[in-house]
Amino acid sequence: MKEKHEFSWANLKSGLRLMLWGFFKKVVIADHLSLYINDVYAHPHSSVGIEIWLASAFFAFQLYCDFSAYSDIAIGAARTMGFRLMKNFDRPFTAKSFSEFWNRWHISLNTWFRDYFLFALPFGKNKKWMKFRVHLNLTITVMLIGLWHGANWTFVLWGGLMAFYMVFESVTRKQRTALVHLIRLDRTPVLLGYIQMLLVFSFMAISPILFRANSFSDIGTLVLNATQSGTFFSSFAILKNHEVVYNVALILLLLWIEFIQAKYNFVHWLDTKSVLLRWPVYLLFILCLLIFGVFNEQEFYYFQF
Amino acid sequence: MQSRKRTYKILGFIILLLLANTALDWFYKNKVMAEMINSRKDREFYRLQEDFKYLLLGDSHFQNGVNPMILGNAYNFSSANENIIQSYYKLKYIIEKSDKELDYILLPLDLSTFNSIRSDRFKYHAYWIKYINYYELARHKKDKSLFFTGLFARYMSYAGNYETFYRYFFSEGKGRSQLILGYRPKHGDFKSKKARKDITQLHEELYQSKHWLDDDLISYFKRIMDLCENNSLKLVLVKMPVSKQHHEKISKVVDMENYHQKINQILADKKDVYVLDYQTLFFEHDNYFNNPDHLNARGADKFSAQLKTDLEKLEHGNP
Repeated sequence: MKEKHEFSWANLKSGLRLMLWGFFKKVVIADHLSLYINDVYAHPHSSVGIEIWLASAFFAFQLYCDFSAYSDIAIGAARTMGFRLMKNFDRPFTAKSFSEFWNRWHISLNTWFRDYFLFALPFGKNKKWMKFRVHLNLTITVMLIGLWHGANWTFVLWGGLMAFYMVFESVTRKQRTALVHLIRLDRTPVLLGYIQMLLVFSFMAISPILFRANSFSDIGTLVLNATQSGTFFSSFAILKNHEVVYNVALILLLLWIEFIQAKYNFVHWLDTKSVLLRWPVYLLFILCLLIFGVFNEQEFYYFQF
Repeated sequence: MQSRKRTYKILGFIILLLLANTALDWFYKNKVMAEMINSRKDREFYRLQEDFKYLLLGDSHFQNGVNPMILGNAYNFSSANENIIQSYYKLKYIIEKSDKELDYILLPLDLSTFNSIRSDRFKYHAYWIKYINYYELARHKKDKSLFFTGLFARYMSYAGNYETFYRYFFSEGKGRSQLILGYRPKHGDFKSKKARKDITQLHEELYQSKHWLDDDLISYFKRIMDLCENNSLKLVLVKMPVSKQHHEKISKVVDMENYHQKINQILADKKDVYVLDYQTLFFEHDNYFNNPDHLNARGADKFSAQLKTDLEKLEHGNP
């Protein structure tokens, strides 16, 4: 049970770097995205078409950046003192299926629920009903995860939607494989992978409306306004808005940095370079954080859960 | 040995970071901020050798609505979004640190003047740090974060100000907004349908607030009255003209009678404080407005002429 945690320079450096990345994700990306999102969700009646779709997609990234930043800062702080904590997010937006998404998102919570709740539920001995029991148990577990976020029916509904995605994915596996074969997408696995990622993201990005909206009536208003044909095409004018362009640029930057890190282990590469290269990179990062950060006391979103 | 080397490296990095911070702070304050309207006004106001009979403080209702060239012997030192707290500190600075001789201080007195939303709406701290005592303000508002805001404004003014940087580097019209002794003419026409639609939405939030008389703003307003009284300055509160549409809309949200009654109670027994009411002056002239509650250049000229006449009457004891 007892483990010795000794101070090491390598841990200090790596921990501080992780914390810096966490702060960057929080104050530069998440908090900036929240400015646009808050505006849309505060005025559900006056928001229309693409504005709402964008807010929804941005919120998926805000949630990810905010919470993964919180985790990174905690993991980084622990690492500076010699503690190694488990990874909590593993590039969830690269998931090609809903079940994979849940293996990459809030890993600590989901593994806990999987190991101590889902696996503890009875699956029954009747093979005929086994599949049904698996899906039922999964639904109960995911809805409970939803409820963990707050005592509000919107969270339960969100959990239900997530469960529906996963059950649907499991039930239609054969048909989807056949369809992919039929349209010959299996011959271009890279393209197939990107389509799967886009589909998973699109469905995951719709669901946060339930997570973010203030009430059921607001959800109704937002869904109605988002799909109204009369204003849908005229709302595309917002894409020229420099705030929207900036938000999209921030998201692309996030995805690019995560891609570079995963593919080439940028941090390890940087570690092998001299201070003449490392220090300017760190300085640039810190100054960008200061210039582009939003410093108006926005709490971590997950503090409320 | 290894440990000492690492300590030197950490110190070296911190020094480098401080140097970069100082350079950016200097650049922001002296180059980026210098292009802003507020800073341009500051430079002009303190550079002009003359004294002014009328000094206008307050928000954009004044900044866009009063032409000092017409008023005569006046300087329009108001600025967009300026609240009562900021006006107080600016006036205090002018009285204590400049050698300007003033007779009248003019402030707008609108339905939004004491709105609680205005109380926390501070922007451009790097500019306001010259005037505002953030430590005192933090204590008054019991909000520690304001103290740190002040520290940031003093030593890391650029932090979080990417929008200002963006405007500085990419805006075509930077530093070119027309200013006439601090007055910034606007040329929009509220009569056009588009302007009507856009701006009604914009103002929704402000007027939906229920806190029309914020304690902090009232407290600082009393400080302004005391400051004027102690320095023998006459304070003129101006209820600015608004469009009929705006007035009707706000009347449904605000108990105007009660609001003005409370203001009158605050002003009771105060010497040399005058209220001039022009709210309904241009009800039939939507073309004098840039938006529902801001005059355009044409309206500002008409209004300034009227204000001049009334201030002269006031001076001759005939308000």
